[in-house]
Amino acid sequence: MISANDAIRLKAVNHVTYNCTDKDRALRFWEDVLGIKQIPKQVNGEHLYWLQIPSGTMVHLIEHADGASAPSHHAAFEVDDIEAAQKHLREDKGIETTDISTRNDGQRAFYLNDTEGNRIEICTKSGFGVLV
Amino acid sequence: MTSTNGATRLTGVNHVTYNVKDKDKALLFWEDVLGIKQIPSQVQSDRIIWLQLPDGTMVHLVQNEAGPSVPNHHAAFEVEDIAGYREHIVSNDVEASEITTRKDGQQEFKFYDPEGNQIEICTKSGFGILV
Repeated sequence: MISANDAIRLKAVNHVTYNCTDKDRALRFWEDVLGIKQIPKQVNGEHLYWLQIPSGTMVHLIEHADGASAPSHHAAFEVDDIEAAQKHLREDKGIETTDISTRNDGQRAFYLNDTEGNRIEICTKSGFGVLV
Repeated sequence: MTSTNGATRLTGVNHVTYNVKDKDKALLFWEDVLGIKQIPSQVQSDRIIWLQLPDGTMVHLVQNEAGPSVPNHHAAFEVEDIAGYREHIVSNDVEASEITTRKDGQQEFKFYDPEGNQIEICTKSGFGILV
């Protein structure tokens, strides 16, 4: 077991990265289609954008000649009304998504790809609480 | 601008995945070195291991012959005592970058798991919720 005490325990996710070959094309998709808004980045790199979701967690879009992120790396984003979110993406935005599937804990999820070929999961909250 | 209303707005991250070639070897590192604990998986697949952080967010280790996740895909995990955590990581014979500071005062360092996945450890961001 880890000998770390509470002050050196990893407690939350600050951000996840998504690699993309065209950061401006990716930003349009992430902002306009997914509705995740850009915020001021706190680094000097020209090859990345910072976005934030209401929980405070960030998404960093990183331009990279070898993007997208592979092989099937993804983050899963929580939404309150998953049917409406899927309908919005399919009908208002013309995005192809998988059907909604259900996990053992009752959590429901579907997947789509961004313009860069990155996999994105949209899901409801998990059916269990905090177990750790 | 997006037309998503409150109920279809993406509100949080539920989990992030890390691709690994050997899920059991990866689990040893993620549990014993990183201190992120395993929880029961809620899917039938034998190639996935689920872990959880104290805020409820999960990490899913996904066995995949093409793993690790590339080119530099990573998640950043928050910790209170970043110097203490780096000391802990280095004491486990893991090579880690030096701690650097971003414009908002956030400190961070990075290293790789045995599968070649990049992991970032950081303090909380210096700004609040901006969206």
